Amino acid sequence: MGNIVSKILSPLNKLKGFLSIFAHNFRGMIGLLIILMFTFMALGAPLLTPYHPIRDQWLSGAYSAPALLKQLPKALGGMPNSAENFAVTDNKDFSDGLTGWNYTLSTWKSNTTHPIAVSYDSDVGLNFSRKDAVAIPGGDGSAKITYLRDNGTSGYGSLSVAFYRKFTFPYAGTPRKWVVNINMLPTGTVSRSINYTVPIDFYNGTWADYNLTINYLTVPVKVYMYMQRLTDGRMFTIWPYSNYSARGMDFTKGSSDPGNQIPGIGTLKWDTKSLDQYWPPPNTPWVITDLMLCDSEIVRFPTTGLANATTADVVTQMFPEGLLPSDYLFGVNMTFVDPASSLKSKMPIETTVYLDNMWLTFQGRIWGILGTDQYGSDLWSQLVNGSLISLYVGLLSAVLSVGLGLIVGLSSGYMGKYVDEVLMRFSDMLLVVPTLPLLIVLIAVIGPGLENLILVIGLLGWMGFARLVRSQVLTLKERPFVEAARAVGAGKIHIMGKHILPNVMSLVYVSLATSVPGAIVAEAALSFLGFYDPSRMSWGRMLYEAQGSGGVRYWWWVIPPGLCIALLAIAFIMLGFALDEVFNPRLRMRR
Amino acid sequence: MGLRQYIMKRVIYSLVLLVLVMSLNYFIFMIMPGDPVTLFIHPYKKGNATEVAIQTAALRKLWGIDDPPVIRFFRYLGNMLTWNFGISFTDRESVSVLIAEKLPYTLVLIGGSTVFAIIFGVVLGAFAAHKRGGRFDTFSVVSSLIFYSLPTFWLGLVLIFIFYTNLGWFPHAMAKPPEWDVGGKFPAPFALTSSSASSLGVFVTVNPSELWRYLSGYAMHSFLPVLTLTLFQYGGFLLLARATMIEALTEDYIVTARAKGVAEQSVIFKHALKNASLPLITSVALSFGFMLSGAIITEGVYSWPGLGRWIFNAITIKDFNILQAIFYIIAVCVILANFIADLLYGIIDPRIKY
Repeated sequence: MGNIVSKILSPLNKLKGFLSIFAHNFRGMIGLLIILMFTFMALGAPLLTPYHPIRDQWLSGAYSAPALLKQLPKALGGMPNSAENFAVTDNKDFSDGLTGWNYTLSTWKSNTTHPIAVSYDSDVGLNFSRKDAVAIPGGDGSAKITYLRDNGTSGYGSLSVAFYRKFTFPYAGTPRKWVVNINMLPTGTVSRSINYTVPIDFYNGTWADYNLTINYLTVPVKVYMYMQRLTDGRMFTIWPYSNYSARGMDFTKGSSDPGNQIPGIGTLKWDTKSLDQYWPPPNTPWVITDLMLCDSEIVRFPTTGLANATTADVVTQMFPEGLLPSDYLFGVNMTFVDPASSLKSKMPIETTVYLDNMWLTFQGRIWGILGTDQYGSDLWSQLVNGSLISLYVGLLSAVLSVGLGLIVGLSSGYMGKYVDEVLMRFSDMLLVVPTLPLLIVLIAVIGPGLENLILVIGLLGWMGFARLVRSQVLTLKERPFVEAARAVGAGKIHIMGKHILPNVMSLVYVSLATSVPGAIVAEAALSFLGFYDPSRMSWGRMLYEAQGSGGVRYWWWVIPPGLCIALLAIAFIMLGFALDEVFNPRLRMRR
Repeated sequence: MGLRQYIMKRVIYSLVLLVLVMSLNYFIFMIMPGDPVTLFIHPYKKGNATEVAIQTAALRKLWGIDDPPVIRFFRYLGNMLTWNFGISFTDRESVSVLIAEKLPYTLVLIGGSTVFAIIFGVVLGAFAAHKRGGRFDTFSVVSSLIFYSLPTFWLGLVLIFIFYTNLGWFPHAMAKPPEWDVGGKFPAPFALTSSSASSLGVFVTVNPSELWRYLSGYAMHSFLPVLTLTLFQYGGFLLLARATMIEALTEDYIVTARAKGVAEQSVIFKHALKNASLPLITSVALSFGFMLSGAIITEGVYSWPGLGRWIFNAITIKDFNILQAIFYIIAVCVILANFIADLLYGIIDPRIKY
């Protein structure tokens, strides 16, 4: 009974003794504390951040700065006026009638009612995605713009309507990017029809009068979307954009075109280039998928004076710091083209355009704890999740390489002769070849997965430790207790496992700790060179992305991952030194 | 064991190692995916299937790709031993020529930084060992540990951030100003002029302002990469120098020297450091591969047109000949350096008997 108790207690007492010495080692405790901190970060990642490091994109604009910088004055590197994410989405789906929306019709000189009418249709809701379009009868409602001309009247020419809403951009800084969404369904009314009597010419030469049903004809609609700054009345068309180059996007104030008057704000001048390709075909419900999103990254402004205007120019011209915060309009302008001389001019016309899901979002320049990367993903989430990868790679590769080194060192040292010669020449061979290129070549052969990284780093890191163990074993082998065991008749495996292994275990612990940093830095280096696991964001890959995308100029992107790598590496080195001192009392004395 | 026997043993050992490394070098690239023939065929031919087929067959025959593996292996050994590395499949140029073209850049980087790192590391390490346990010792050990464990590429990025982005003191990419390549802007520090007085004499005249432009252009561009590699290496040298100096300073002859009244500076540098420099020599000899790893990363960060970036590109496009040549040359260098270091031991330290 007492024997069992002492068997359980003796390792516990040993551990207690070890801990009491270790606890007095300042460096070791600091190292352990840092490692525990990163372990907490790795395991508690879901608590620390709700976002996925790669999949959650466009949380904010690309290259957003840490939110804390907004609290700092400019002199200290702060960004006090930065825009945050902002969206204009009130009543975007017209579920609340036309509340919030306004429209302006072009001048109509006749005393009859204006042919264009804007109304609310509660029976139609549009739900488009880029792939397919569905008009849902009885949906949440949409805005309905109708152009109507009775039978027998000649064409009215071009008439237009501007349908818009006002919003206030509340920040004093330029946003990074905006996106406008609109769903449109231009259509001729198919349900109403009129009977015509048409003479028909048969092939055999006879004639007959037939009653045919002809749908109301549609007129083409020219559509453009715009945003207007109310401070100075400047107007920017944001769609259509053609070939991603500048084309008639800017409307100068003052040119006279009575068709495009917007009262109190200015006059529009339509670019004369052909827009035929955007004209909706008649009679069929038609989806303008291109209209789904107007993105400031795609819109380009005219080249006059601004040769090859860039993306940044669009946003900074529309939202210049000096004029913010300011009121804006965003809306859609439609021109119904119904020339008086057209063939259709004597026929009845009804064209309807349904509008739905009109909203506008802004991506800010400030986000979260550490900002965002070039895809608007959360950097803090990447940093937190990266600690798991580094610990995982570091520890597993260290275990692999120390295990291999132990086996090689033990067998090489104890067996001697040919075993020793073969194993040591093999390890020399690996030592002589440059490590990093060899690592990269091996990764290129087996593919850049995380497990492959661990395998390769572990397989190339055992040589030094094997030599250390070997030299230790060579001296242990000659000690009396080994000789005694051999004299009693113990086998080689038994002696190695029971008598020599316990005496090199302290080396194993120390080496486990000191080979982690090498593995962590090697993983980071490989990731930085582009050999990363594409499904995971490690610290090395963060730096790779920063360098590849020009994010190097943002300290909040570059500094944290490197600092984490260095901190974790130093922590393990300190732990290793501390273990060394605990296991070798001689070192403690000499300090 | 006599000196001759010892040398013979080291020579045999080195040769065995060399053959082993050459075999490893061969087998790694045998299993590496990728086909040199498709790499070599000119891109504009790729559209024409028959031409490509003819060319492929011709090249396979010319390079003996379809020969039995044993023959190919021995042919490879022969080529390596005769310093014949073949051509780069993508640059379509002899590998030796390309190496000669890029080696100077890398030598400047590695050589410069290693010299600086040794000087700083050894001097600071010697002082740290001398004042062991003091504030300077703690500081230098901690700082070298930090620089030792910092990832090189991150150090490079941070230096770019400080010295290029913020201060704008140094350029961050390439080995020379880009405008030198445009329209004869390359500085001409030396000019050959034939003297008008004597038709025989050709004089080399030095244009001081051009010479200054030439040197400063290269110096400015190499500052940050060399600094990065120096910081990367100096921690290791400092720790090593400190450890060996601590060992050496406890020896009896130091006590004797001090007792004789030798100046402290002379004790440190003449008596202790000289004896402590042995392990340093081995470590420099062994660290060729290590330096190359540093060069690959540093050259990547700074777009430095040397061997490192070239090797990296060769790996990504699987241009085997380059890699085989580099691995082989580095291995030969390390083996040779080890061999020489082993022999030097006896010269520097007369106590060592073979």
